[in-house]
Amino acid sequence: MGIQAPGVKYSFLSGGGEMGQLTREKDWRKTAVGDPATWPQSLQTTLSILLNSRFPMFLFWGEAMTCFYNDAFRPSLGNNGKHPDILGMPAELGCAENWDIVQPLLQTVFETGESLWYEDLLIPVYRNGHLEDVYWTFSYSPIKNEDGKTEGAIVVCTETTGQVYATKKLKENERNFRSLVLESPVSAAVFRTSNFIIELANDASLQLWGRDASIIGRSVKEVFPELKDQPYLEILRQVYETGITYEGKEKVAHLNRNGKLDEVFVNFVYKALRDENGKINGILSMGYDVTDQIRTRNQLKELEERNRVAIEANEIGVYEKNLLTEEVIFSDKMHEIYGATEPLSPATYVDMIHPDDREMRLRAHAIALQTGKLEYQYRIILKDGSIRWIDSHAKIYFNEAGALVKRIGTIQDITEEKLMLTRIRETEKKFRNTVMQAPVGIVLMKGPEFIVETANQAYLQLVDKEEDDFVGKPLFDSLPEVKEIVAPLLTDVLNTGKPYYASELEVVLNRFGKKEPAFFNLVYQPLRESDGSISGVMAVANEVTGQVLAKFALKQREAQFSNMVMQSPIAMTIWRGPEHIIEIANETMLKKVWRKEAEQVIGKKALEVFPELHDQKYPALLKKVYTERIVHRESESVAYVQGNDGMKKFYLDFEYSPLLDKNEQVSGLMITVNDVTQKVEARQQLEDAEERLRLAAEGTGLATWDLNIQTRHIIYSPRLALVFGHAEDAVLTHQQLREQVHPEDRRLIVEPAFEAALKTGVYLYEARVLHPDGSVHWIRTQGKLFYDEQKKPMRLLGTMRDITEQKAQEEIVHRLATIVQSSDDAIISIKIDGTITSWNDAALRMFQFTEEEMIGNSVFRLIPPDKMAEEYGIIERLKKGERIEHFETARMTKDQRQLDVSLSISPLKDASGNVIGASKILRDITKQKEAERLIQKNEQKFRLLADSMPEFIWTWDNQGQLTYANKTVLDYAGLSTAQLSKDGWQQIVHPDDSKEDNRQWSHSIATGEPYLIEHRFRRHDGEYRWQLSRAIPQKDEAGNIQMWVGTSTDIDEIKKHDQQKDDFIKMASHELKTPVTTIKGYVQLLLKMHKSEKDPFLASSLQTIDKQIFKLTKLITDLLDVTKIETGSLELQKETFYIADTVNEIAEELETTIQTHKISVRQHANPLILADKDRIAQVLINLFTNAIKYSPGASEIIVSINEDKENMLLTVQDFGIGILPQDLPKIFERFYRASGKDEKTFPGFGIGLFIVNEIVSLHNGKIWVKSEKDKGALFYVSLPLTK
Amino acid sequence: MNTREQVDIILLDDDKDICVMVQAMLNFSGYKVQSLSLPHQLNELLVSLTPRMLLMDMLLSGTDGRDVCRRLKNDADTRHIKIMMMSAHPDADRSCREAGADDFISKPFDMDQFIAKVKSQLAF
Repeated sequence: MGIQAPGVKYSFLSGGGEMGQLTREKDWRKTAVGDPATWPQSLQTTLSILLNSRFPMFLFWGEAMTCFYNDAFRPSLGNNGKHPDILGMPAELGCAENWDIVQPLLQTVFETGESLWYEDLLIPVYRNGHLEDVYWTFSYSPIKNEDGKTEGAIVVCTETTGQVYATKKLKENERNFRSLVLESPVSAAVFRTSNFIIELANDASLQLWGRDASIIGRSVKEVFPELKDQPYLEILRQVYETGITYEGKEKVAHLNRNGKLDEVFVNFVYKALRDENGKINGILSMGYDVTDQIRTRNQLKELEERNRVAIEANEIGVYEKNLLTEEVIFSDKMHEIYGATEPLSPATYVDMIHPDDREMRLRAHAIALQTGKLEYQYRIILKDGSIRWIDSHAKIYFNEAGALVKRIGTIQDITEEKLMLTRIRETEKKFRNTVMQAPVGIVLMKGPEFIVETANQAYLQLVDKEEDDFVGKPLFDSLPEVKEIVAPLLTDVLNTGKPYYASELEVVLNRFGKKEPAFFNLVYQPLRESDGSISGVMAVANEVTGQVLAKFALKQREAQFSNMVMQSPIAMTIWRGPEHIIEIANETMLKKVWRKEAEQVIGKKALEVFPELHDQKYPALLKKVYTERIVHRESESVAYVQGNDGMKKFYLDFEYSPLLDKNEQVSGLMITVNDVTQKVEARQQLEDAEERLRLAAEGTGLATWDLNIQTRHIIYSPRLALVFGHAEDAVLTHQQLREQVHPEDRRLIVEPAFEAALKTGVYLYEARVLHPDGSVHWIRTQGKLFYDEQKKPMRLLGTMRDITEQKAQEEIVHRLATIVQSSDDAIISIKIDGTITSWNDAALRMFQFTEEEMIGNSVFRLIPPDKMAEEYGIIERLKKGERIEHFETARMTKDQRQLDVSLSISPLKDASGNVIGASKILRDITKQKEAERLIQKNEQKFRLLADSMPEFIWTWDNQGQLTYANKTVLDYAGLSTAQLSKDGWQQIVHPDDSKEDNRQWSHSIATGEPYLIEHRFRRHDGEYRWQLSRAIPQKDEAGNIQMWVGTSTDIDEIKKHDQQKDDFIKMASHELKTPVTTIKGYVQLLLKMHKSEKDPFLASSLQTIDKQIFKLTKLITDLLDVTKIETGSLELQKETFYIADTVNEIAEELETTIQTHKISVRQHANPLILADKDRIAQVLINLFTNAIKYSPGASEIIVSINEDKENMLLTVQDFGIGILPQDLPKIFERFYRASGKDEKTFPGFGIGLFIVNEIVSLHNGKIWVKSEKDKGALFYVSLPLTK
Repeated sequence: MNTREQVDIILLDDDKDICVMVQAMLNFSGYKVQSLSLPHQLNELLVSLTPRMLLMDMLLSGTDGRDVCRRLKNDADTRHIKIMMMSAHPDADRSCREAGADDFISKPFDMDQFIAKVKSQLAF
């Protein structure tokens, strides 16, 4: 080996790593300790230990305190520091930078020979290029020689800078944690040890617990004895044992607060706290009171239940139509109303609408698109053909973009109401007369006593009198109260003949059960007789009480109004006209807000008085309210107002309301201002405090986020990712989050809210987000803007929550509430003690009480004194859980009017089935009731009228049962109403007539065709007299028969005359026929006997006689037939025969008798018919002789016989004078004959075709004719074929 | 007066002119006729005479031809005699047939039709 380092030969310097090498290589001869060979044993031993120790060690040796150290110590000197130069240096040099610390220590060790021990001592060290604060835990121990003299000091040390800093940080954290807990807006507390000693509890906790700060330091168990039977202690114990965080949602806790056991709902977290060793030493409890939310939600549920009950009880059909997808959801009631047992398709609902109402429906829908409200009534035709009236209400929902979203509607069957109205109308119609129906009151009075001659309904209503009491009496007997005012006026008109006009004449009338002032516009017109004398006065009265009172009320209201403004403790002012001239401003306004004197502002233009407003939003708002007439309200709006004492910033709750003049035009604005500056500022401070600790909310369900406005970098809590449907640890950018917002909401809600936040500092919105799985969730975001020193927006901090469930709940409640609110029926709910808990718009309309007036008040307020007992009865029934439906009673309005109402009440039950209240539906049936009374009155009148008529009058219901018979009927029959209704009118019908009567009656009831019959009724003395009875159905608008009105007229005399006439004709024809028989017989016999003789005169004479006899016979037969037809006694003797045979027979016979025409029979078929052969022959003879008679210039009649499947068809064609078009419809009438200049040519009774028609009809056949003037005629007869 | 064996038809009508006229028609057509104008004469005549046919007006003075008809048709001895009734009365046809008449002709009648009816009745 070449040159050896000087110290290597010493065994005590072996090993020791870098420092060992450095120590060996060091030339110690230049140091205070000299050559290692001279080192004493104690130094050698110490160095041997030092260099090989893993503990950091430093040795000061000898009087110079020469420095040695080992590898373990080496890092404490850092880089670029004293190492390795310090090796072998005297301490004073080597530790120059901390000599003031080290020197006393060394001195003490050297002098006393005692060891020193220090922990975490700050000894700055020059290392890493600069002086660093380094903390040390170390010992200085003396090293003594054999003599016990201290020769050196060994420093065993460890650098604790890391630990010290960590501890410092820990302490700081602990402080932070404590302040976090103490200042948290949610309740936060720390329980230490397994005994859960309350170490910390913030104010929110104390408030939640209902305890004060004295509980700190005591155990949970001791402080909350009431938790003994509740799960919380057990949960705490588990968290403490397992370290698993427990989250409680809407947990119920019973806490003894303020002397009573309260039920509280809380969201809370128990989180284990650990010491530096990770051992659990306590629990952090955080939570907040959600009792209000739960209660609200329960109330919403109750509201929902209540509304649902209301709707069901009200027999309302409900549907909801999604206008985007056209999907419709119907309640069961819908199809029930439509008369179906199963749900119908949406198209069916439309198809069932009455065709006449479809256009109206389309109009209603068109209007609804403008107004958002669908309201119309229409008819539907049910499957059984019946017609029902439907009342339809719906509300249309638009989204923010104005597009249609959905329609929620209700329908109700209002057929009964409609029918009622129809009945009213019809009854009224019966008694209408022009004067009587005039809408103004008309009364005619005669003579100086003013005896009422006529008074129309309107007048009678004005004075609240019945016609019977009023007409025929002196006016002032009936209306003494108006005599003083009216008598001089009337007398003057009567005396002078000059009409008197008065407007708004005030008289006091005693009507409707009380004296009340009434105002009339009047005309008193003299009534003149034909000789010009004045006989009386006509008064035309138009009542204007309503208008006049309204006018008074308006004036009064105006006066009250200014008074109210001036005396209000709330700042108020009225600005008139579009220029906003300040008309009135009250003290509060002047002193507190404007801080100006009245003279400075009154009568001036507001915007000139307050020029500073120009830079604020208010002028635009004023203009908007003024032009759009919409009240504008705003809360906590910032306003700067320049008062006499300078500019001041206010937070104001204010309202601008338009004031309308009597023409409904805006004439000014009323401005109401409430200074809430103090309140707002106080709250803002509070909010700031809350803001700092928003993180505390994290554990309790809120996601938090912090958005850098400049960079759009967002920091958020893991829960936010969950809210957006991602895993907790998902990394999302602000842009990504934005993109997850529903596109519509992003554009219409979130972006505007963000813009607004940058202006107002407040960020708040509710919007939908789309989760990656496609589901839609509602979120609610709240945030606050923070500014940098330059007042530039810097950060937006906020929280976010998933409110999907809440939204869904709200949606249902909202929908039901819409229905309830839009109902025409008052729907209210009450507690079982009668306290009102809800009150809808219809209730306001019906009773005039507002919601504010009624909620919390007793429902008894609506009940008339005489109905109280009844109401108690109802409540008793409700308590038993009974439902009450369509109960008719009366209720009082605010202005003490009594309404007739129909009540439906359903009990409301709590979860355990106890009745806790009721949902009431009240329908105003006053009009209906009034209508019923009116109908009754009219009916009485009608009965009176009917009873006094000499005719029989009676009515049937639509089933044909006798419902009424007038007194005349009863007197005739000698029966009471009861007797007659019991066995019907049939009991007085002659037994021989009853079969036919029954047939006619059944036919009419079945077909609705008028009932017309002659029959005999038994008189009280047993005599039957002939009656002509008629009944006509009365139909409703839809054409359904409501009733039958019948009359019977005594035709006994006429009938007897007819019988005599009939008998006479029968007798006459018989007596006429007898001589004719003889004559005819002889002529025919003679013709046969002289057939072969050549005497042409004899032959032709006989021919002529035969022809005339034929005509005479036919005349007699026809006359008789007409009589038979008229009396209905034409009877048929039916037999089956071939009509062609009859046709041929008659044709032949006629040809021989008449000889002028050839009758050509063209037989195309041989139909067999079942008919009266003689009658058919008569038809043929009539048709043939007619054809011959009316075709004097022709020589042929063509008869054809055809048949089809059902009928035989016979035609008779002539080539004669034809028939004028206007005569065609009449030729089958009795005694009708073709008239004109040729009349004389065609004599006859004009009964031939009448008889033909009758006979054909009796055979269920048809006859018709085609003809033109001068072109002949073609008669068609069709008869059914025999089967 | 013809002997009983030679009489085809007994004619009964209270109108003597009609009796004579109808008898002339029947005689002209080759029938032997005994005519009566009083109903009670019929009973007497029928004791000694059995005609093939009785031709009778419905309404005879004091007697209803239908009663006569019913009586003859109910009597086994006379049931075989064809009875044809006649009348100018409007509704006589059916009631005569109901009374048992074999045929009916309404007055006034056409000679050819009348003879045809008689011929047809006597053909059986």
